[in-house]
Amino acid sequence: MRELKKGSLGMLLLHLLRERPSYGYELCERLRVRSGGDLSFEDGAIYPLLHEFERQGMVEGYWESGDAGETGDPGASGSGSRKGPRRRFYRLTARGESLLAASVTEWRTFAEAVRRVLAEPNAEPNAELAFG
Amino acid sequence: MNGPIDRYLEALGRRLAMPEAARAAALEEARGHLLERAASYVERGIAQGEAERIAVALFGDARRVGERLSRVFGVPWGWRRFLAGTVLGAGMAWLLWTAGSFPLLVYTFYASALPGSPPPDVGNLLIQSTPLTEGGFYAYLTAGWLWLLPLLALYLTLPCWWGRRAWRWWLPGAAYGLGGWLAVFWFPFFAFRFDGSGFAAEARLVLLALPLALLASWAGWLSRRGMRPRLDAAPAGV
Repeated sequence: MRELKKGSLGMLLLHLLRERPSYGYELCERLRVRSGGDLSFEDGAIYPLLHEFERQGMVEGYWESGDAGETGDPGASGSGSRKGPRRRFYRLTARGESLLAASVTEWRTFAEAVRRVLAEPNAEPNAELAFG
Repeated sequence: MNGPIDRYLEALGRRLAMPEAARAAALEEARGHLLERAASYVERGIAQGEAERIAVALFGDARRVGERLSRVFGVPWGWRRFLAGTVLGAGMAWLLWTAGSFPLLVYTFYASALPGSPPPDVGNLLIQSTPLTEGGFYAYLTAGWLWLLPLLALYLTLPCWWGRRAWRWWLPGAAYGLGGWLAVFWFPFFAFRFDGSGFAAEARLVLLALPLALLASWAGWLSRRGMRPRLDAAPAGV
């Protein structure tokens, strides 16, 4: 489970960023809320990924002041209106969008294959017939 | 000041091996995150200190976070950096030898000068101090091998720093080893030519400086073990 979570964190972050630009803390909160608390990562784990994505041109980072009503994130929850230090927002680029689409497809194929393997045995074609 | 968040950021900062601008930005980003996380707990009625401790714990081990971030911004070594390391190693070996030899030569001059002797020719002494001549070498022999210790310490500092920036394990040592030997190419000649005369024993002490510089560069590399960028750590695709 731990490895699965680790492997999927990048894809989940990009997916959340496709919905709207976000900053690190907000991404952690959105992940936690959207997964019903089942997906929780160390907060610090997302920053190396975000910076790596930025380096690869998959996301674009920019600073915004932490003052009220500034976030560039109209759908942000209450935490977005709190006064505080400036924040580094990330938004998905076209390159990130296409890589995310490929990754989601790959993930769904993988998940479907796992689902089929874990399905009830009577759903499996009769292999014995093939060996006569 | 100096609460759990400040202490955590200090620890994190020590582990960030990256250009200064990127380091400052990463720390500012982490600070904002930690403060916001702590504020959310304060709003729930938790005391400030405890809220900061929780925020820090949730952020993760500073060493691990620092290593992961450093991999992203790690300094990639290639042939150009190898060449730069070689030139820098040669330049620093040259400068350190000259800077260490010059005061010794001046001291030796005054120690052996007769009363009423003319003052030393500074330009000539400076030339004698460079690795091109034997002046510095003789000065070290005259003054005793203990004088070599500060020189050795200087020889270790920069390679160690340079090694911390290295990517592949063999690059820092190789670059500095080659550079250092190029700068003072005549060391082995002196060390072995006079073998048996009592001269070679001290010469071998001088000879230690360069292998030690080489080892220091690897020590620097080892000191940031785990922070080296790994290709397989970069997300392939996503």
